[in-house]
Amino acid sequence: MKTAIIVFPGSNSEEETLRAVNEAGGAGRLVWWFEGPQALRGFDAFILPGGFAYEDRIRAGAVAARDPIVAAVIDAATHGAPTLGICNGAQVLVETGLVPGTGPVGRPQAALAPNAAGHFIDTYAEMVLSAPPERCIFTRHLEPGARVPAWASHGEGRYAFRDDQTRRAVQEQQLLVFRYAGENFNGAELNCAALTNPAGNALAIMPHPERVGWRYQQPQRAKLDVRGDREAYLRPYGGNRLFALFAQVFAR
Amino acid sequence: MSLVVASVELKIPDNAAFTAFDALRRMGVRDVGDVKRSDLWIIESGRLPQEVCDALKRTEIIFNPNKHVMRSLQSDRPAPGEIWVATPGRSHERERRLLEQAGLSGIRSVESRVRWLLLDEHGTPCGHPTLERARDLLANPAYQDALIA
Repeated sequence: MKTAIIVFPGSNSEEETLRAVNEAGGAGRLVWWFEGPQALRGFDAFILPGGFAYEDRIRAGAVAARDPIVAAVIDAATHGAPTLGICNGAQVLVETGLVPGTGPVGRPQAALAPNAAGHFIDTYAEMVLSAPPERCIFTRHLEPGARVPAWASHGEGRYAFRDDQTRRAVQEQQLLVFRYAGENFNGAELNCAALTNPAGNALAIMPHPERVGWRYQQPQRAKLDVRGDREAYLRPYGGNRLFALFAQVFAR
Repeated sequence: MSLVVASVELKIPDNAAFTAFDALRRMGVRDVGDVKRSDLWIIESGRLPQEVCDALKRTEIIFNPNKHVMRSLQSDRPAPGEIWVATPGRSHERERRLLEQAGLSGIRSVESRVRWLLLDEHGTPCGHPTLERARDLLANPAYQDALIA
């Protein structure tokens, strides 16, 4: 399955994401926003990477969500294409209304609002699978309650819902796929780290799994386990587990 | 008690305003000819309005004379063609404290908005239907309020 990683002016995580996809056995390629929607022909899956698309002008994700190339991604996603947004990519997917998708596409039902603390937060953050694994195409090979490490790095990462109806729908339809395992450091409603859409083929995930994809990117305690073992130190680990699962999805 | 609505606008090119204009045109909102943006600071204090404005300019905390122009608005409601975006719950304690430290005493409250002004090709404020179409681009209703004239 060919995976397009869309690069916007201001994206900054595309190389790590490409590396994680390819390391996990996927066939990724960077596609620049100016190549236009026609450049997405032949791709089966899409990833919107992290960064600051369009400098977060107006607010994070708002302008990229109205980019013609994203319209093509949303069209493919509504026809079932696996679509993943990471950090700024999650902000874009939420701004399009594709995720959580409890209202019409084009009208956002949720937001990634500024962190409750009022400042940028950069921290290691484990996520806990909070929906049945089969609820989302990207998690169906995980065990129930699986913990996946990631790296949160955002100023606008606080999931907020438009109204009670949306909040209720997210819970009733089990669209909340990952919660943060520890403290609610950004003030997100329901301690939400990632949401899917009702069809389960799109995932808007706020922390970066691709930034803790190798042992050397882990916290000290995980590195001590392989002290002196250079190969293990450089081996995919942690967040890359998620990409390995994505690769299984893409390889179907 | 006085209420001052200070509008702080860039005098250098405003990339965010241009990006909003470009996005609106791409969204098919064709009757927009220009977009202007400013930060609004709504300050309630025991000082005279002119004193507050002079202090805001002098303290250079929310205003930089090298790149901003500042003027006082007569109303705390949007004028025709304007969308004011507020973020309820956003704390302005830091700005209040800084302004007090800089000598602007007696501040009761500080709030902020982002003011968007949409003009047509002739420089006339855009009408309500156009503002409604622009609303979701300029404010996300999950955490922001958009006030329209």
